[in-house]
Amino acid sequence: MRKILRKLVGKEEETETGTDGGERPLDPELVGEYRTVLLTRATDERVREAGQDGGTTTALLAHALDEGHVDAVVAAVKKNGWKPEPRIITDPDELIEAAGSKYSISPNVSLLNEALAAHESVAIVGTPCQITAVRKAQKYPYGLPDTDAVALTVGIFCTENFEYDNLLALLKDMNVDIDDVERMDISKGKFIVLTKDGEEHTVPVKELGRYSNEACEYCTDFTAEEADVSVGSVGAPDGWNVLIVRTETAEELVQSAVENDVLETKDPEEGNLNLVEKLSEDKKTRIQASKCATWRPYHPNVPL
Amino acid sequence: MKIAVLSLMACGACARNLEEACHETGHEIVWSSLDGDTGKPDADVLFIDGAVDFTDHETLEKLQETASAVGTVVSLGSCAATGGFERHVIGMRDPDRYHFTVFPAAKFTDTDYAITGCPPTTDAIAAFLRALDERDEEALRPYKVLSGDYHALKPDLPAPVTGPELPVEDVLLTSNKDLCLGCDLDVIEKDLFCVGCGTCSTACPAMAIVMDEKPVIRQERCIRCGTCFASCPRSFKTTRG
Amino acid sequence: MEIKTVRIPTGTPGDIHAVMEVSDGVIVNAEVCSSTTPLAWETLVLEKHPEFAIVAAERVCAGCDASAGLAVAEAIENALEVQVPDAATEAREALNAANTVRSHATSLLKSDLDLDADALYTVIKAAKKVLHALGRKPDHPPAITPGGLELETIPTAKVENAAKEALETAEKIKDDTTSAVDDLKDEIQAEMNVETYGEPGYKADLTPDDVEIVPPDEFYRMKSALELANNHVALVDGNPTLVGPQARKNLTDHPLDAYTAKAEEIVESLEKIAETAENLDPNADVKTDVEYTSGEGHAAVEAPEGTLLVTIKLRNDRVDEALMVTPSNVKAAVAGRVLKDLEEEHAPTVIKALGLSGRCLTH
Repeated sequence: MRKILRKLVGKEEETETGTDGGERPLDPELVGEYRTVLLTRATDERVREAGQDGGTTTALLAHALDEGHVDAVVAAVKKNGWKPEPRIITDPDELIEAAGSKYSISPNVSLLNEALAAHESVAIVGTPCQITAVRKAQKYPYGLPDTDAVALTVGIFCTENFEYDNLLALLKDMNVDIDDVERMDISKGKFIVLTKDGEEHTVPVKELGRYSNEACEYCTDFTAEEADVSVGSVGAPDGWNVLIVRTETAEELVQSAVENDVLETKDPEEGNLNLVEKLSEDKKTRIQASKCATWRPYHPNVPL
Repeated sequence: MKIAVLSLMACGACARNLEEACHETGHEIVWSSLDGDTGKPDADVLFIDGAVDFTDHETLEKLQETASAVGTVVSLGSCAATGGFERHVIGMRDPDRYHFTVFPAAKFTDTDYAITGCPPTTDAIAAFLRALDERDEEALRPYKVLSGDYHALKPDLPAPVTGPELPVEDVLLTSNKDLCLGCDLDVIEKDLFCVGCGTCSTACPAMAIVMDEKPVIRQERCIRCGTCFASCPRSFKTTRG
Repeated sequence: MEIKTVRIPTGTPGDIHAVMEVSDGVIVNAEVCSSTTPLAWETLVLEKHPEFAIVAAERVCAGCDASAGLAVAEAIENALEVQVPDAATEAREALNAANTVRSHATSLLKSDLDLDADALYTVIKAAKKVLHALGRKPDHPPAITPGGLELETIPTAKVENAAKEALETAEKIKDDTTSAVDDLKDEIQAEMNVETYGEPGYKADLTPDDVEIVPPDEFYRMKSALELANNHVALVDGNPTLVGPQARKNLTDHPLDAYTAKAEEIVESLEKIAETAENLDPNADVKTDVEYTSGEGHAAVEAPEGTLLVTIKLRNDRVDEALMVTPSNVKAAVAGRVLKDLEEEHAPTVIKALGLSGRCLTH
């Protein structure tokens, strides 16, 4: 669509495929519009340890709270047994409890009304579908007042999510008890579980289909294209994050975080950003074979 | 754009928010039944507030007379859009009558748009007014589809799958036509489309939805307004605003 | 002498009619009634869960809205002998005050006084912020629940700031309203010789024993041109009684003093909200567990338009019986007295000032 617009406007472009113009590190057709792409990680080691890879999300949100850009953050915290739940966090030190990836559903948006009711300026971190939901709520605020108080949305890269019971079933099939889990990770096409005894258990991501949330198959958004800023680890070196900065708000915050030594950055060349494009593309094509796509619109109870 | 308001069987919250939205957007309400105006309004847009009791002939006539005089008719709030809370009520005037006689305005007159909510927030109404001003057809589409006789909609076959949000028409085909998760959780085909984001819960005007990964309806509080359905990111598409 | 039935636009939902005996342009005798389709709150809550009774009560009329919900919640608590935490009572009082601000400001907007709409909406926005913060939505606040308020924490800072920031505007509205009312009073000769009930504050001590519900007066039942007149009227201590801002503030010389009283209550309510928020601990307990056994209870609150009484009988987690006596039920009894000897052309202005709603009257 953008390429068609450019042709109409009569602009010359060097290339038609891949990274447009050859200058941009990521193709907006695949990852959505953005201003810059960075490789980042938290400077604070404590944050990196609590985080999944670079701790960027936690550091960035803590900075937003510290500097008063927002006075509340809606995020997911891990409870006992790895079951996440949403929480409104106002103390930047408490954000560390929200660090680290979660591997089952946390309905973060469910706290948005409460956050908007109680605070002046709110940030929300969530999966691409949750960010999309917030954007829709800003455009169609049927039941949600003051959505313009959502000052910042942070999206997390996501391929699919799991219902908690299915996560337990998956682990059981891997012969792992959830209480023995030290760390979970999705990396290089594998779901990796590190147990407390030091053992590593892996399953290829391709085999996770039967455990994942069916509705996720219908999603085409890997990098949270509607967020102010998107964070993930795919395409970044170990211990680092890919940061896709999309809006001016996000750009100012990220710049501030870097200037205040909250985040450190690396040359994007040191990453493998093609992986981000590849996974985005996979997600945009897999929808065609999803149950949802093949279901619609033939509902058995409705005569056509 | 001159605005007219016709308040029928309503609590008044929708009309009140409309007045506030008009104050914000600078639209003038030139005719309002609440202020005693009668007859045919000289206005561009008519907002109908509340549901209609079909045994109330006087009101039915008033509705049809008023709506026929204005080019664009909008069902404001869930009571006007789908019957909502008013329809959920057993309207008893005579002790021996015990059935539903209350319907949304669309049953008795042509409507162009419908704004869900109990009540729709002032922000929602202001957003609608701006879309109407700008003739933003894409932004207006959900209001259009949810108005009138959506029961008669047919799917666009074979439309390509373009994205994760269903066009409204397709989701409507699954529902029991009351378009609320309280009536029919499968309106969003919980297993097929629900991602557990929690938007329905946070939007619900009655705090009738709690999240246990997926929504759980507290039937003792649900008022059948359909705000949950309309707010769900999977009920209809939206482009980035 | 002729008898007329005139529909009076009040700016509120539903239809109010005045049935008047008029002689030479002066009202000799009058009654006020409503043809509004009843919501039938008292019927629709039967066999439903008590929580639904709260949710439904708020939707009787947007004017009293939250106050009706509060009255139902408190009646349920009294029926079940539930003690809500002190912080919940105080937060509820602030919530009721915010609702009062919002309702009064809306009423002033709809009056014939031609006041500054920007100022009134400033105050309305502040009230909505408080309703959102303490009630979880600015309209029909759903946080009201048996046992207290469904809040994780109390946003005291936000509430306090919202109230304080609106005070200056509220004072200006008060001054403008008082002088506008004084001007209009010169044009309209009217008197109010009526009993009053109501004190400033949140809870009222009206009980079911004090109230008598009577069918509409013979006068208009016979003479009314309406097919149906759906309201009943309520007497307090056997008398037609005025409730509401005028009664609470003791400003009962003239019907239009209702607006002055409302403007004063806006200021007082904002002050009350700020004071309450200042003294509340944000982490205080605002909800206690409720066991739905059986019982009977009643509660009365000072809703924006006047005292609102609810009685409720519970049979475990179902409503067995319910009764609501609304401000309009009470005021309808006294409307005729206020209209008597009034020039016919002023009837709409005076009825509007009285603050009746067709929805409220027929609920």
